[in-house]
Amino acid sequence: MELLDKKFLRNKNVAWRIIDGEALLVHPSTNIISPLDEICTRIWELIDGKLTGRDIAGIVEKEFTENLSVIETDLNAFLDELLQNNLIILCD
Amino acid sequence: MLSTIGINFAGIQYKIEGIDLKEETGQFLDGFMGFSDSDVVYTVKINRNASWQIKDSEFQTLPEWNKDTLKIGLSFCDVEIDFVRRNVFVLTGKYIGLFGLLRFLSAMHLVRNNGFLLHASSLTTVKGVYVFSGVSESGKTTIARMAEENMRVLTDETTAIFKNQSVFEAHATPFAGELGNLGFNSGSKLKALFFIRKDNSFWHRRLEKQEVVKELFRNAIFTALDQKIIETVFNTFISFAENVSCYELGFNRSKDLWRYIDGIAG
Repeated sequence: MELLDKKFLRNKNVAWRIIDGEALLVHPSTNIISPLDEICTRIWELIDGKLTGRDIAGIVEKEFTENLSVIETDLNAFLDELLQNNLIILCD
Repeated sequence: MLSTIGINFAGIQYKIEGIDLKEETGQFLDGFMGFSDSDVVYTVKINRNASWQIKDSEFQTLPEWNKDTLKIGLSFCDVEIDFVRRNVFVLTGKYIGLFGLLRFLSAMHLVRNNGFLLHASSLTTVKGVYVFSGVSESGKTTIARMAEENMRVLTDETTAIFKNQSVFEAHATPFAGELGNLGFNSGSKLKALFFIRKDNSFWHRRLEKQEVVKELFRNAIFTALDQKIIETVFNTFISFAENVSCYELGFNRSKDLWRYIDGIAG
């Protein structure tokens, strides 16, 4: 859960669109397509360099009425995956 | 002896200077050679340096974009393209891989102009062009072989798709698969696109917009993308998904194939 207290920015080289409520991300250097579900799409939108992971989890809890501890666990894993795939970067 | 040749397909004309007709052209260009009245004309100058070495087939340098120009090193040549003046400078060794060069140039032109190259076979019918896309062994050539007398196969491997006015068209390319070059250099309005797979029975499912865009990214032919170009590609794919009927299709080698397809898309 160590990522939840950090802030992140979307990699500006990643092209993305929200189609029918779900985001598709494409990384130019790999051409890898990452489709996101509705909740992950909302998280992707909220990654702006200002909100911490915990802030984002709080917003998602309110908007989707999910259990906060479940959201935090899933969000930590999702942020880690985005980092590993170079889709987001860690803010200083 | 080096010559200048014209090659045209999918509304694009290439005037290629510095070709060795004996060594570098082949049957894959039959039906595609000659000059057309297309407004889109690229002049391709091939320069040779005996010390230039061919690289591994996967080799590619990072694309260097500067507004409307691109520099890139490929396995078989180094290329500089000016997309505004439509000039192409190619540096290669003794021989150029014309198949690979034309595929690269046409893919780049199309993605910048509301189009794309797709791994797909395609056939003209009285209703328009049916396009069948999929990975290797998905059945692209199988379907092309099943064409009926009143159909013409455009290609069994690579289809050029682009928006002409407000209509998406599908066109033949010289980039053939197992069937070899069919020499039918034509294209017209795209009636329906099927993402295919061989199966024991016929089935289909209409794809949602997001699924179409995802499948197009998986099956289109790209090189040298940058973020700006992917934004353009996104717009093209979304427009395509909004304007063309797209399906997932399971099929087998049965004479019922065309009746089934007409029943879906006709």
